[in-house]
Amino acid sequence: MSERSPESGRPRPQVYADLRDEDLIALVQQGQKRAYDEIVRRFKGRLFSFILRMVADPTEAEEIAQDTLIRAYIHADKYREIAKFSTWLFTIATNLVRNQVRKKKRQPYMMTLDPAPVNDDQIPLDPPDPVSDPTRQLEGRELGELIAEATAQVPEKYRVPFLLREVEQLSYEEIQQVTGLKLGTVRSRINRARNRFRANIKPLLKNESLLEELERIEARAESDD
Amino acid sequence: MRCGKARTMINLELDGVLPPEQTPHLEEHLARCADCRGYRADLDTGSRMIRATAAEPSDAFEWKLQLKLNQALQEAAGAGTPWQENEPSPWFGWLRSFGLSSAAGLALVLVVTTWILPNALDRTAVDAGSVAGRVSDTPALTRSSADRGDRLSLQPASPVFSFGGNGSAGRVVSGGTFLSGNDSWLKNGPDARRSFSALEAEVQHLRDQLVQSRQENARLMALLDGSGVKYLEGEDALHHE
Repeated sequence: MSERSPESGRPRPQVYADLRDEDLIALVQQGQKRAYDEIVRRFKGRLFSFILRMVADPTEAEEIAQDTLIRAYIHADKYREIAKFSTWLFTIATNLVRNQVRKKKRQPYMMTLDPAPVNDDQIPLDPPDPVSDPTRQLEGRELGELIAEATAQVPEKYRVPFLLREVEQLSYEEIQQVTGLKLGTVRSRINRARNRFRANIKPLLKNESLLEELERIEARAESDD
Repeated sequence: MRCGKARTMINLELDGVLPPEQTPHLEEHLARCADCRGYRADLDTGSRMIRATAAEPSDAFEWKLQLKLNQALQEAAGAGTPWQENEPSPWFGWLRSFGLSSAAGLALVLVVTTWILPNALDRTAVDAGSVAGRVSDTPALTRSSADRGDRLSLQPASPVFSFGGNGSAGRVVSGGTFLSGNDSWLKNGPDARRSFSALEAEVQHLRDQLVQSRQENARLMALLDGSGVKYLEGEDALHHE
């Protein structure tokens, strides 16, 4: 029995769809490429979403997500079932993200040369007032964009455990394995990140239209499931 | 219970690791603390927002992954990619650098001999041409020599080039190519070179004509002197005619 994969259009064997992640990687270790396809299908969105919130650049996030999956394939034989496969995979992703962030920090600052405005109308007369009504600034902007901005403002060292917890729902122990931090540090960093994130999203929490949008998204996701 | 401790417990509760025996204490605090209730509600909404706004990769994600995977497997197998070069030896590197510098030097010599020197020669030729152009300033015949058809003309039969009216060589027309200053030859390349060769030949032709005309002039002046007819120079000659 097989169903069609919505992404690739190829038949997706039910036998793979029902397997645990750890069973799939065991099949990959035996050389079954189709099991790897199922891993890609399961994790590409999760990896991309996690990495995007770390690097804030969709192209870069895709590349790192692809590199993560490639490494998982090439080094599949190194995986041992002492940890969950997702923990192992996110450890690879986190290391690649850290390398990328370090590389960026080493690079000199490059100024973007945006094209000059064509019309005078395009030149802003005044810079936006940061203390003006924050709810007005939110009008017309999408929830995803605002959340990405709020997440990006959380310091990187807090953001990694925070996202692993919030997005990936990893346990403290799994986050400890991924990050190499002590358990207490993991917990305190998640708490600190939450407090920072809460401060960043304060204006959003008062915006009725955004809260309605959130409910619509959740309802759509529920109906899709 | 203080709010700080309550908030730590709220975080543990959100992560599903709050010990069950502590739950009543937390609930008791929340029942009388609106700030902590708001704190818990904010964290809960924040988590929902993060999960609801998960992004999806592009449609090209999988085939790009497949391409990269193929390449990575080739590299892992030690095959290397076709565009990868082996590390050159220091000797080879030196030879390559030497070859590059030699080629650059040769190119420079070629540019100098092909473009710059001919241009300098042509400038000399054009200067000579301007001298030839000033032939019109030499004493003109005022007699009826024009009627006899022996008025001297410096215009060649085919107008390969023409000089400015004041004898300067500001404009040279040759074979349809307009040359002005030093830039046109750069643009026209071989055409310009041919034009300069034609220019040189024509300058030589004009020099010969100049010599002949001077000889002819001297002969005619001698004849005039012998016949007693006066001759005029410059503007007077025009008015006389």
